[in-house]
Amino acid sequence: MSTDLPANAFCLQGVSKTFSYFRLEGLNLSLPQGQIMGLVGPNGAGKSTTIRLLMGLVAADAGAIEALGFRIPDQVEQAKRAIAFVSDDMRLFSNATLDWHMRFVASIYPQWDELYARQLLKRFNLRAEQTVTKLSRGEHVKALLLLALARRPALLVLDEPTSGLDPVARHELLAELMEIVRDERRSILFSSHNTQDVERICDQIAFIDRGRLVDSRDKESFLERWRRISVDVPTGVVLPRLADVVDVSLGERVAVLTTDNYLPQTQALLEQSGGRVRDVQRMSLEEIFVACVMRSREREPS
Amino acid sequence: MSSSVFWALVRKDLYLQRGIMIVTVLTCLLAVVLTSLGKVGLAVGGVLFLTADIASGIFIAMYSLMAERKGLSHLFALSLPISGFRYDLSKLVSGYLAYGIPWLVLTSIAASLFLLPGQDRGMIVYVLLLQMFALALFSVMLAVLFAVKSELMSAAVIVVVNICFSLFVVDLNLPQNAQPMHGPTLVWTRFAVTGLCVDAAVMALTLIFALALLSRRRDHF
Amino acid sequence: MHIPIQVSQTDPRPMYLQIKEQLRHRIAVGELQPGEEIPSIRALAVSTRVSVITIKRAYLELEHEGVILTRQGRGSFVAENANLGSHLQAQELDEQLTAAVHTAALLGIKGEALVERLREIERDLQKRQP
Repeated sequence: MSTDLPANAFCLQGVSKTFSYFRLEGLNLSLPQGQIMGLVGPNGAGKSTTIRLLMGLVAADAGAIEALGFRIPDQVEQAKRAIAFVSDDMRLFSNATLDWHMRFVASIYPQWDELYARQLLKRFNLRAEQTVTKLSRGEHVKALLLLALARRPALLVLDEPTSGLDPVARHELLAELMEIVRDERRSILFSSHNTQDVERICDQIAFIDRGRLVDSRDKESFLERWRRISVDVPTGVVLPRLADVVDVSLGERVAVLTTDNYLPQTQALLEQSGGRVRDVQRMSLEEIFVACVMRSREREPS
Repeated sequence: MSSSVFWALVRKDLYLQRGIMIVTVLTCLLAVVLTSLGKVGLAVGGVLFLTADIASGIFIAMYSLMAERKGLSHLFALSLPISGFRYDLSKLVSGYLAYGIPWLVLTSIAASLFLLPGQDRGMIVYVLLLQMFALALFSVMLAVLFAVKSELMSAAVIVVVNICFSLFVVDLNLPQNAQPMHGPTLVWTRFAVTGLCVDAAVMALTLIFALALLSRRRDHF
Repeated sequence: MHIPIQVSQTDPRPMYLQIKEQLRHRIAVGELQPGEEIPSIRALAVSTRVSVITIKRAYLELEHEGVILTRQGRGSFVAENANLGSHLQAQELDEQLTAAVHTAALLGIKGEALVERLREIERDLQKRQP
């Protein structure tokens, strides 16, 4: 593999995986280097499976996977030298201390930054001498994050990193994540239920539901295209059926339309038919996500 | 580079199981000491030795395989620069080492005791038969625990192992089998030779089976 | 060069707009001088804990509006525009008035009623601060 990092931090093309109880189909997902991608989806949607496929923990039934330019699973060992992975169900080895783990990881990764590790111990409020079995769940996650961050990975992959974290720890983690992309050659993929955090720090966002990629684009596009429009509908007026209207909620005199492609003309089109646009609201990422998933489920009732 | 991760994981397993390894050796040494203290001592020491022999195998198999999978720290190990196959292999290797090192120590001590003046040299065959059977059983247990995922099945396997070992000890102590061993020379009866060959074959087969199983595994979550 | 910009997710205005406005305000009041260097896109992303893409958008729009300029490999700077201060302040005023007109419209206050309301408020303020 070349010594410079490739243009994409990772790339999944046409990836499928079938389990007896669940199927992931035709996944196309990639992230340019130097960016943060947020993976959002309901429980059981396939976020963890996608991440496991990327990390080579699970073998794809079809499709191609590349991480940092390395083919997965053929070159998974080389890839993992520069990738750090933390999932919320991961645990450290029992009967060893955090300090033991730090020595262990440091002996494997030449990029281990001891000074940074010590700083993180303070910021995450952890004690190195503590045995792993005595750590609370939140402390355990923080310990795993410390071990991942201190080896300065080129790609950081996190599966629900903030679950179990108190607000202070979450705040610290987000700050550390942003520090990573100060370097334009380092990237992050994380899955989260916390749409607020995703909305704040992610450059790219992907929505997954029921084993399919529902939508994936840059964050600002999502936020700019989706709107909720309140329209006064005087009696006798019928609103035009606009393309890109995902949902219509009709009251007696007021209609609320949700659109995923708001254009300057949209308002004019509605008013031409006699409706009076009262309010055009932006939508939060959470609202966009829910609307996206609802639409996707309506289209494919399986 | 990846081989250093492999051996780091093996060393880690041995480090984490050092307790079991040390306790096994100490218990068996105690048992050996007891056997020299008259008839009761012989009986108690004998039972203690056998129990430690097989129990250590069970603990190591359970700890090294099941605990890590159950405690979900296998995910942490798999986040390191190592492939799923080599990770599984490291578990196999560390399992054999964690059991094998104390086993070697104890077999040597027990065998060399019968080299002392006044002892029946023929009993060395007895020791070898016992130890080889235990090792073969451990091999089977390790392979089955790799293949089996449910806790219930794993527990059943452990129970069967216990029963097999007890049955073998009974068989070994039957007069027609044990008699030739209470002598000054090493007597290789058909029973002894068959026993050792079968044990060796079982170990080879279980190892091949385990390796074949591991190389076919595609998902390591 | 630390610019304390705070982005709030509870603010109804989008994040990129908050950044633009805070930068413009600092330029308007003279905290940032024409020609002065401003943080790089990534540096500001880290200090505000906001995605790079949002900062990029804010910078691109500010550059388009002639408020800042980015020199490849050298960083971003406040534009050398003598009338920037008052220009920005006028722009800020327009934005605030636009928001007020929108709000008034929702309440059904328009035209002369709106102007009268504005005069009333001005009178009240003058009474409190002679």
